Amino acid sequence: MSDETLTEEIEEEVEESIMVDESQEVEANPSSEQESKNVFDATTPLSASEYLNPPERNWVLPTFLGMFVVYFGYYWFTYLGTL
Amino acid sequence: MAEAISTVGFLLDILVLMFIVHLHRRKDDRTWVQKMGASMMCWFLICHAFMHLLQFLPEWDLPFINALLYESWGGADWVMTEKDVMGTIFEEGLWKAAILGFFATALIMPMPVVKNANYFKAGFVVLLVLFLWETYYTWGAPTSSEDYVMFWPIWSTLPSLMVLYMTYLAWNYLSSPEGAETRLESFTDRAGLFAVMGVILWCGKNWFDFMAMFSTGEMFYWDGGYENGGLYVVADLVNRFELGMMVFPLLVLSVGSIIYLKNRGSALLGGIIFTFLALGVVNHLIYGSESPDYGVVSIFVDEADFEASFSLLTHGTMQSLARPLIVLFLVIRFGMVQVGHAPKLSRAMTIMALAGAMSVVTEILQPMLGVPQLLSGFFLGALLAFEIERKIMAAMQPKEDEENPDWTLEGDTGDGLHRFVNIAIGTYLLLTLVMGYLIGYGVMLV
Repeated sequence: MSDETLTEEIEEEVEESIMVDESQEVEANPSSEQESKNVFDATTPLSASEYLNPPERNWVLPTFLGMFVVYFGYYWFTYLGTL
Repeated sequence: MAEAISTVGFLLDILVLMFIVHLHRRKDDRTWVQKMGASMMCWFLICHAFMHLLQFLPEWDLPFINALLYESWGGADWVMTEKDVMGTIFEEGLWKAAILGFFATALIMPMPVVKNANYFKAGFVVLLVLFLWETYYTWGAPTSSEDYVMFWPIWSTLPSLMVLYMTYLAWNYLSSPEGAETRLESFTDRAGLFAVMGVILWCGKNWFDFMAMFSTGEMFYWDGGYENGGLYVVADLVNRFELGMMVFPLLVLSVGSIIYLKNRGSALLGGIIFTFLALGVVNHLIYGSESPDYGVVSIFVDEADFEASFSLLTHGTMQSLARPLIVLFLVIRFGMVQVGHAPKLSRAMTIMALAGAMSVVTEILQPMLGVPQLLSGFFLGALLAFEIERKIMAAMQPKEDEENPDWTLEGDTGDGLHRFVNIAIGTYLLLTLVMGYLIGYGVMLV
């Protein structure tokens, strides 16, 4: 293999590698868009319904309401009894 | 002694207020949520300081103040703390502004629940207008009507709803497992911490009367006008709801503290709740099923009287001392101000707060246990020797790994909303003062 041939092959490999890098950059663009979208989302307040009633602990609100009803039920009937 | 508590409470309010204002005016990287929170805490402290001020202001015998706040409609009252109509209206207005400001903070800390700034503004304006109408209803022309029913429809309902909201946030936090695994949990945990402190701030002073719940104590079973029908029923429901909501958080926090102890192994909150209950039992043993008249106790207290001293130790300290200290904790813990701007001032603030609180507690304990209040000096010396104030300040700092986004809002920027709320509260207080003058001096609306 002559020096010229070797140089041409190396130049072709370099060009190919540059093309591959560029294509990777092109592929990376959607993810960067996604990242920028995530950054935007990070400053948007979360859903109030999830915030106040966490989906993974859906018993929190019912138990609270149960305590509310029991407490004020006791309170109300005792109050009526004193009138 | 009552004057001493009011004085120390007033001084603490002013010191914490100046501390927050000094740091609040510095330019730094705080978010609009934190800045608005600092402003709302300032409004709270202004109102709270004024409440103390009204208790000993007449002693200074200032002609203009006497004329303005104590002499309308028949001259100064015989009790030194009793205001005239104008003074009372203005004090009520301050309280309403403080409640609204605190509620607004609970709705945005650490994440705004209302995403649209216009909804927030509309709600704020509607409530302030309703507050003004309520002032007219409770002091103005309607009072001379034969059908008049005396109650505060908004002033009683709004703080009750605020406490209900914060109690739920506290329940959500206390019943959650240790270590926030998701972004949502990290925010709800911080909201819950704010709520726990907020609930103690607003309701703690009433928890010593909890034992009266199990009897026919007048605090809870006062015979209102329920049987008269009509508006009396509404008034009774509002009053029952307000009184019930003073104690409901104690029930929730009691259950929550047990879960919290089980999940996270921390007995701190449980210990505080237990202290409230234990002091409530003593309170019940002293006063039976009736609640002491705290207004009378705070004015005519006999320093050698155990009962009066006990009332001040519980109800009085929670109202006068604990509130500014809780506000101090909240503003630092949630980054509403950054103490790094003035480390020496921050240290001094912590020492003064602790010294003030200790001196009052030892003064109250003096007639009860024979403990001389001079002991507070030794306590302060120990505090400085071990540099406990530095540890307290370090423990109050926001956690480094906490996410602190500058939340976006629809309709306006966060800073715009912050500005609007401040202007609205200032305008409301000015209008309240004018309305107080018009009604108090019988110029209009009467």
